[in-house]
Parts: sequence; structure tokens; C-alpha cells
Amino acid sequence: MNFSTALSLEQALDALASGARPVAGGSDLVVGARQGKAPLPASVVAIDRVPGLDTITVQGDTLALGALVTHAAIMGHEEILSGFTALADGSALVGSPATRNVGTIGGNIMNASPALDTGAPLLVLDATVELRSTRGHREVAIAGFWTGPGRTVAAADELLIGVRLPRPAPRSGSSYVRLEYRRAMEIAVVGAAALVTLGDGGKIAACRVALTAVAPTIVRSPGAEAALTGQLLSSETLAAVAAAAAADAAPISDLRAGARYRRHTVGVMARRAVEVAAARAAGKSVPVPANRSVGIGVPLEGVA
Amino acid sequence: VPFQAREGIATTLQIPQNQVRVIVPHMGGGFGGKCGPHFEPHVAALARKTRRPVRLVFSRREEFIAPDKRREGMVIDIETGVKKDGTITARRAHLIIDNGAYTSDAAVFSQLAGMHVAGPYKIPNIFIDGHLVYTNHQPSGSVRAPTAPQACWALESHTDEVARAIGMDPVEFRRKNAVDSGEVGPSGQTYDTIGLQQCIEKAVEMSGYGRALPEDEAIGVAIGWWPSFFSGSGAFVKLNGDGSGTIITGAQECGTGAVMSLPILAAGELGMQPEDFRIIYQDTDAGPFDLGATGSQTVFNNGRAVMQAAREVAQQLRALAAEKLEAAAEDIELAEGHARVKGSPDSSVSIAELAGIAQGGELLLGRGSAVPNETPELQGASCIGDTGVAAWVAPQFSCHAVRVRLDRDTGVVRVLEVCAAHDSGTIINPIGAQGQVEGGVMMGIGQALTEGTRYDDSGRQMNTALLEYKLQTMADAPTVKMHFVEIPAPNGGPRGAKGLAEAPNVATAAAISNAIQKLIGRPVRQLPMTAERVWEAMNE
Repeated sequence: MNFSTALSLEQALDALASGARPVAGGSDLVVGARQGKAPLPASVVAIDRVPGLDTITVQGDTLALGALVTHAAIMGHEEILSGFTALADGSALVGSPATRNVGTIGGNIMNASPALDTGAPLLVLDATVELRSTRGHREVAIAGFWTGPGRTVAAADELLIGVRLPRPAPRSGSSYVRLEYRRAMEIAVVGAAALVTLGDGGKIAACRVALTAVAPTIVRSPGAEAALTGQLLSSETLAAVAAAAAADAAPISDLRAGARYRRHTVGVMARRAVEVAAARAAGKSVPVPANRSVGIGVPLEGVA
Repeated sequence: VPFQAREGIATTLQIPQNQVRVIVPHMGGGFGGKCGPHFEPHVAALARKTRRPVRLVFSRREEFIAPDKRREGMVIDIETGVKKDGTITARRAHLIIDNGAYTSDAAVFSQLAGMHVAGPYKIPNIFIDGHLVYTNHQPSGSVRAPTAPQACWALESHTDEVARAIGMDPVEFRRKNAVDSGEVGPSGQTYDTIGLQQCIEKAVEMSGYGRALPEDEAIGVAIGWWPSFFSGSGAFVKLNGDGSGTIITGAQECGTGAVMSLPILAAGELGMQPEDFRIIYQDTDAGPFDLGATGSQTVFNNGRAVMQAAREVAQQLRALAAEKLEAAAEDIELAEGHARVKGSPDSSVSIAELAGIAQGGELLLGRGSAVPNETPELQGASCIGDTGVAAWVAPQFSCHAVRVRLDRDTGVVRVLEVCAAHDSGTIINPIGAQGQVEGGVMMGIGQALTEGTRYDDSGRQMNTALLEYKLQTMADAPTVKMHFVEIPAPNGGPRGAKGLAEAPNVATAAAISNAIQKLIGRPVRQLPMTAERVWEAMNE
């Protein structure tokens, strides 16, 4: 195997142009190879030392994340916690403290897993990814970026260098929750993210709902969004959101769950995500990750 | 397992055992993985052939499929006859146990599982039909209390159903039918002094059973038992010229604190402090035979060997002190690092001084070997194919009361609190004992809710990695409260100790099942009781 370390973006792009695959934290590539999921590529370029790709900046109404920003950095960032909360919710649930400290947002997006915990948040927050190669530079909306499990529209020589998220409208809140069988080292069985913008009279002026691990990629739920838009957040509305999200899902049966159970629980997750997002939109504090405040995660009496 | 590994290597290479030396490095985790020889002979054969050091490293997948460390799956049917007043009159059960493609320690499993389906109850009429069947799965074998958690889970879930059917509180039902001192158990064994009733009382009390709880919470209660196992086991104790001590034992420490308990026992016999001793262990060329970190047997057997060896040294010290202090040897007591005449505390000599004297004469050396326990008699037990596990030496008892919370929308269960009361006789090493209960409880929660071997249609295990074979994590850990009913076992180990390491794993899944049963009105009839299975049971 050929392994090189890029010390600049140019070196990284040159390596990719000559057929190398990039590695940053290695939490997918290396672990996958060890488990026999996929062998390590013949040529690998380490990009973790490329300068300038690990910053979180806010420029006007845009949040810009470098590809090397870790999950740990995201979940601790003030601006993200307050304005882009769903992304913090998702990052805080990834793997374990070790994974969150080496795993990067860029690697996570490029891994293109349908169970990706940052995926649904990026989708509801309308992210755009920046791709760079020796041939040039382009921006792609996340909505069309994933094409299947492990597949994206990026060409082999393109490096994802960053993600941009527009600041949601005033009176907005977002969240991500997932179904998990244990509270660490877990992968989403199903999950859902929501972005809710409140309008006059407490009605939902606008919303986006995205579903995790119920289709070949993370998907929006048009049914749930339609059920919510223009409505008051009543128990009827929430039930309609759950039913619509379940109907929009196309889950499979695997080791983690059967399709029937996934379809039901993704509805539950969508409902909970909307509830949390709406509470945050109304200015209420729901700590990150939201999973620890909903369903079985509700804190115990007398436990901080 | 240094000695069992040595035996396996010597047999395989056809050389005498004294030409094989097994030194076990510090390693963690017994859980059955330290029973018997496994791949040591393969490594030794390769080393002999190549004349080079050989190291064998397992991938995670190999860890899952190569050793015989799979918990045996079972299909269990239980029927119980009971009077309106709650007295159990009869039990009939049928067991099919997945042995796998080869038999290792599973040979005793049908009878052992039968004991757990009988349970620690007074049952005058009992018939259990156990079948250990060959399958094309990887072999099953000892995993922390083999057969017990699943059989206990079935029995105790059934027990709650029976109690509910006659309108009796399940705890009251257990109090009424559980065995007590002097009573005859289901296999015809009369129990000596035991503390099962006290376990029930304490676990229930610690949990606040009966109090009002939120509607998505419930407390489930289950009882369990497990034998102590005798094995030959030896140790030497010597005192050095400065009065410091060395214990040389064949016993193996795997992180439980069992070997670390040995200095406590030696010090107790010699009036010294545990920290006065150094231990040489898990080296087949140093210590005498021991069975290894298996069957919760280390303290139970090797503890007695160490005490006997220390007693020999104590006798020598008393003789030396008697001479020095001009008193009768039987009047000498060993305490606080000194030998002194009983009733005359001023007349004393330090053990260090006596050790110095001994170095110029007869050395202070002791040897010990555990004395076989009396095998309890069985009354009227007529078991075709008896594999010797129906009469239990120093049986351990336990009661776990577990509070869980259920997410009714998804079936996800979270264990909030486990109250574990154990009769393991006298507790020698309290910190080690606490660790065993906490660890056993965590393992039990995994078995109850998330762990399970999954097969494809050809019998190959599909979940051979830790993301899909879901152990519990620290983030899932509940509050664990515990109580030890410290009744010295009459036919037990050192100071009346019994085994402990496996027992906390027995009743945890069963208690969780009973809490779930309360919340959803019916039992979940398959382990693990995954969120999906709980949800399916709720929506049946």
C-alpha cells in the first residue's frame, strides 16, 4: 500500500488526482478494513495535517465548517449549539468520545452511510458541500449529494473541503433524535431531524423533516412536512407527522431491526424531532443531545 | 488456566508435563474463556516445529466463532402445578439445548439447565426432560454461569405468570415456595444453613418494592442459585528472614480480585497484614496445581490451601515463640505482627525476630491443599444420565429486584436500578465481591436486552463485531445496590465462603423480564428482549 501525508491542500489534491483515497480520522476507513468490510485502498493520502480545514467560522449568515472539523468540536461550539442545534445533536451521538475526537464532518459526509448521524441535520439545515480538485472547485447542495449507501456525486479526484450552512430564519429551532438500543457506541437504527420555523399565532410557518436509516440515503419526508406546515403543534398534528414520516420511509430488515418496526419507530422519531425543534424555536432550552431529553432519555429524578 | 493449558500441550505434544511451563501474563476477563485448554497446543506445536516463538492473535470475528464460548440457546417449556394458597405441587419441563457441532463442557448442560428450570423451590413432584442436541452452530460452552441466566429467565418469568394466575403477589409466592435452611430442594438435596429467604427480603427492601412508581416504570423480582465447585488446589507460604511473606500459588488472577484475596487469608492466620505478602502466581513451574479462573472456584479452593499453608507456618512460629517466651505453644497467639502469650500482652516477640531466628535453623515453610468438600446426599433423585450436578456443594443464592423504564412508543427498555442480594457465604475481599456483582449485573442486562448470537440460514454467525453484538456500555449502567447475606457456609470454602463470580449473572435477566411483564401485561418470550420484541409483544 502506498501511503503519503499531505501538508498542503495542493499536495492532497495532487495525490487524489493520481488515484489516492483520502483519510482523515480513519474511523470509517480503518475500522471498516479491520472488520473486513472493505480492504484499504492501494493508495492513501492522509489529509489530517492539511492546514486551514479544521476551522469553524461564521461569515454573516453562513456557518462554514472545514472538512477536518471533528464531531467533538461541533458539539461544543456555541454558534452551532444555539443556531444549528440539530447538527450538535447528531455529532454528540456519534460513536464514543474517542470516535468523536478523531471523526470528522468531511469523512462522515463522504462515508455516505444511510445511518449517518450528521446527515439528517445537514439535510434539514440545507447544507452545501464544497468540492475541490486539481480541475477546479464546485459547490453541491447536500440534498442531491448522496446517491446511495457509500456513494456520492463527488468524482474520485474531488476532495470535500468544507460545508456551508445558511442561518435558519428567526424563530427557528432544529433537532435530531435517533432510536438507539444502548447509549454509547451505537449506530442509528432509525433517526429523524427537524427544522421548525414558527409564524404568527404559534403556527408552523415552515419546516423540514429528514429521516435516517430508512432508505438508501438520508431522505426528506415531504409527507411530514406537509402535515406540519401551517398547523398548530397539537397532538393531532404530531400524530399526522408520525404517520406521514412512517409512510415516506422505505426501510429494510437487517440485523438491527425489521422493516415493520423501523417504519413505526421512524414516525416516533420524526414526531419527537419536531417537538424538540418547535420547543427550541419557541426559545425553550433542550440540552444537546436531544436524545437525552425525549422518550426513555428523560433525566431521572435527582440525577443531574 | 495455566495447568489445564499445560496438560493440553503435554498431551498434544506427547511429552511429560514437567517439560512444559505455562506463564500467564496479566490478563482480564474470565467469563468461561479461561476454562480448559483451547489453542495453546496449536501454538506450542508450531513453536516446536519452527523452533521460533509463536504468537496467535485472534481477529474479533475469530474471537466470536473459533472458541467454544457461545451461550447455548434453549427452547424451554415449563408447566407448574400450584394450589390456590400458592403451594407448588409439581413441575414438568422440557428443554432443548443447542450444543453446537462439537461437545466441550456442554456435556453437563442438560442437567445443569434442568436445575435452573427447577429453581431453588420446594417441589415435591418434578420431571424435567433435557435434550442436548447437536447442531451446525459453533460449539457452546461455559460462559459465566453456563445455562443459568436463560433457564432462570424462563423459570422466573413463568413464576410471575403463575403467581399472577392465582392472584398472588410474585414476591409473596417466592417467599412461600423458596427453600430455606434444613429444607429439601427439587433434586432431593437437604440444604444446610442457607440465606435465600434473607436475600429475597433484602433485595425487595432495597428496591422499595410496592411503592408508587411512574406509569412507565416497574420493579421485577427474580431468584437464582448456583453451585460452588470443589477442585484440587494447592499453595505454599513462606516467611522470609525479615518476617515478610511470600505466597506461591497455582491460582490465576483474571481481574476479579480472587488471587488478591489470598494475602487476606494468609495474614489472618499469621497475625500479619495482607500487604506483608507478595504473591507468585499463574506459573506452572512455581505453584502447585489449581483449576484456574473458572467455576468461581479460586477463593473457594485455593483460599483454603493458602490458609492451610499459613497455618503450618503459624504452628512453627508458635513453637519458636513458646521457646523464646517460655510459654506453652498453645498459649501463643499471633496478632499485630507479634507472637504473644495469651493474657500477658507484655510477653511478646515480633514475627520478624522469629523469622530471623528461623533462618538460622528450621525454615518457616508451609504447604496447603484444599480438602474435598462433603458431597451432599440426594434423597430419591433418580436421574437417568446423571452428570453429577444435581447435588450442590455450598450452593449460592441470590435475589435481584430491578427497576426499569419502558419507552412505550418504541419498546426500548432502560434498567434504572438493580438491587442484588447474595448469599455467597462469608465475603473475603469486599472490593472484589462488589466488582463481581456489578459486572455480573451489567452482563445480565446485556443478555436481557441487547446481546445475542444471530445466525444466517446456514448457521453462520452474522454479528461477529461489537457494533452488532451489543454489549452494554458504561453509559447504560444503572445504579447497583447490593447486600451480602453473610452466613458462613457449613460445608464451604475458607471462613465459610462460597463462590461468587458467576452468581450475579443468574437472576438479572429474569428480574428485568418480570419488570417488563408488569409494564406490558405479558412476558416477552425470547432472549434478548430487544426493543423490537418488546414492541411486538405490546402490539400482539
